[in-house]
Amino acid sequence: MCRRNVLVLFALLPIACARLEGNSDQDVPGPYELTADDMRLARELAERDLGMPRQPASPSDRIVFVKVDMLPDARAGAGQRQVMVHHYRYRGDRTVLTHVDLNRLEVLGVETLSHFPTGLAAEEVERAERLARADDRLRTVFAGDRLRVEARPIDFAANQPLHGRRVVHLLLRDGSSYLSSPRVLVDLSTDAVLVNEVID
Amino acid sequence: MFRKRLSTMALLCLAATLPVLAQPVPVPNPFKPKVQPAPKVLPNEIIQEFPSNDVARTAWKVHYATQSGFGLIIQDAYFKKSPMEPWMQVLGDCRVSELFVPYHSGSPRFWDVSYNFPLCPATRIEAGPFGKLLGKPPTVTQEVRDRGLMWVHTSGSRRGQALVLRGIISAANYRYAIEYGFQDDGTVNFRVGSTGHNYGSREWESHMHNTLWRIDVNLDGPDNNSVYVMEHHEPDGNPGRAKTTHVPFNGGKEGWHDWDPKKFTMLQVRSETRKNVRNMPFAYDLMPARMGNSRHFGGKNEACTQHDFWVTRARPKEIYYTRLPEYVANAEPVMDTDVVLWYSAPCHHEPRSEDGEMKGNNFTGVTPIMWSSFDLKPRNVFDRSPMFP
Repeated sequence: MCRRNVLVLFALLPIACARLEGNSDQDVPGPYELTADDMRLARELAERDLGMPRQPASPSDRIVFVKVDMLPDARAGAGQRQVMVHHYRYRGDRTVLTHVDLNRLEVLGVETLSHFPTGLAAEEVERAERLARADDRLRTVFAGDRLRVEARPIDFAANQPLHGRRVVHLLLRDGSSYLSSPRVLVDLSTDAVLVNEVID
Repeated sequence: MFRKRLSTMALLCLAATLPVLAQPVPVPNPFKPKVQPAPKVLPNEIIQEFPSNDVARTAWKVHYATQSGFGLIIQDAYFKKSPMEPWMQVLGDCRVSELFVPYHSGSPRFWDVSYNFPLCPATRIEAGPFGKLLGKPPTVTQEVRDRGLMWVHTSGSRRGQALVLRGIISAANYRYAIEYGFQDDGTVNFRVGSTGHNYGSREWESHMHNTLWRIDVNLDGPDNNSVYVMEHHEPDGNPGRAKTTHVPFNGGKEGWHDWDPKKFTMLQVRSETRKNVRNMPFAYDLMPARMGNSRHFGGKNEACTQHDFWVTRARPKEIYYTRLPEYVANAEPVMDTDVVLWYSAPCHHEPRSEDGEMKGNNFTGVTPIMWSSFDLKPRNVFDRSPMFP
């Protein structure tokens, strides 16, 4: 009798294991997200008529791709698939918004906004850090590999001197704390590194 | 013995197949109503019944999305006020449209949704002992919380529950916890908690954290919704009297309205088609829970902070809070149509020693989380007190 019970227990074990696995986080629903293909397609459509220079003649000729925002629908799964593609144009501090329909592979509209808060492209973060690390005033700060750099875009009020410029604050993280100084700002519009300067 | 069992099994299988084979070929019946296909279950669907530990009485069905910048987005949400009722849509797309952080000295002025920061990886500690981690890799947590007392009456009381979804934006030194709570009584909580590290080089400077929301209320579907302003007035001519007014928002057109603490200003989205058994229209109230009104004057992008409530028609490409003055310029009707509410939930951060300390040149410590919030609460959606007795 006892042996039989043990056999029954063994027989039920796989079911119990499956149940446990069913409760794991691996089986819970994941979020809806734009796929890499969605973003590539949206970017291609947006850049078709944007006239992005491959080799900008001057820093102000630069145009960079920033992001793709998914646009809302009345309900999930309705299949609308419209997105807004963001590019940043250095000349005039302008953000170009391209409204794209991914189902019809069509650009629905293009708007250009001046002084609109806009995130950084990955290449801009790299450039800001490269400029800062090459600056003689910061050589001792960056000596060794203790510090991590975190990039934070900054916008300035309309009456301040850096208003309308592409400025990044490089926060210097030391483990779980941040350095209070030097305050390192990089003006990507002019490729200037500002160290502890009172600009605001 | 084994051969005998095998032949018995074969006979049983044959017997089970026979009725199927014997069935006639079905002929379509033109008079029979077409059966609706079962609704497609989306992979980002969460269904939560309440109470979670007893026979279900109410339920929420939610679809969610994640995106850098906006963090955690609710794509839609449906409520069931009793097990026999069909799902009723309450929300369309809801998201934090912007996180605006101006410092008192005038600079910096951060726009932390526009800056496109990613979501943090979610951890077991954040999920809580009974929570789940969602996404691969996980960036969202899901938990069912005891929300304390739901009601107390002469001979009893009841505790309530809520399904809570949370995603945390990693904005360099800041962390923003975006939470959506779906309560068992049909209420939805919208919260953002600001935490992380005070801004390097300005560790002790006061500043504001403005959470600027876009909420697409689709009560009983996207169409046929109207927006009203509900306010308390006292005195009402006579010193001992007061009154409440429900008036169409901005005369029934797109525009703005300000929160007045003396009037307990609330917005109400009303269905023009659905009523409860008392012939009262289904509605949801936007209930502010605020410490003050924030107004900022740093340029044209900040014109949107001059008012606390905005209402627009639902247009998919209109998701940027800073552009609200443009969105309402045509003053289109917001009655009996598809509407979107925009709401500012400000926090004033006055740094204190609890935020951290200077150790040499390093600022170390963490700012305890500070929440801003509001609720969407059902009005006349139920026919009687929910979960009673």
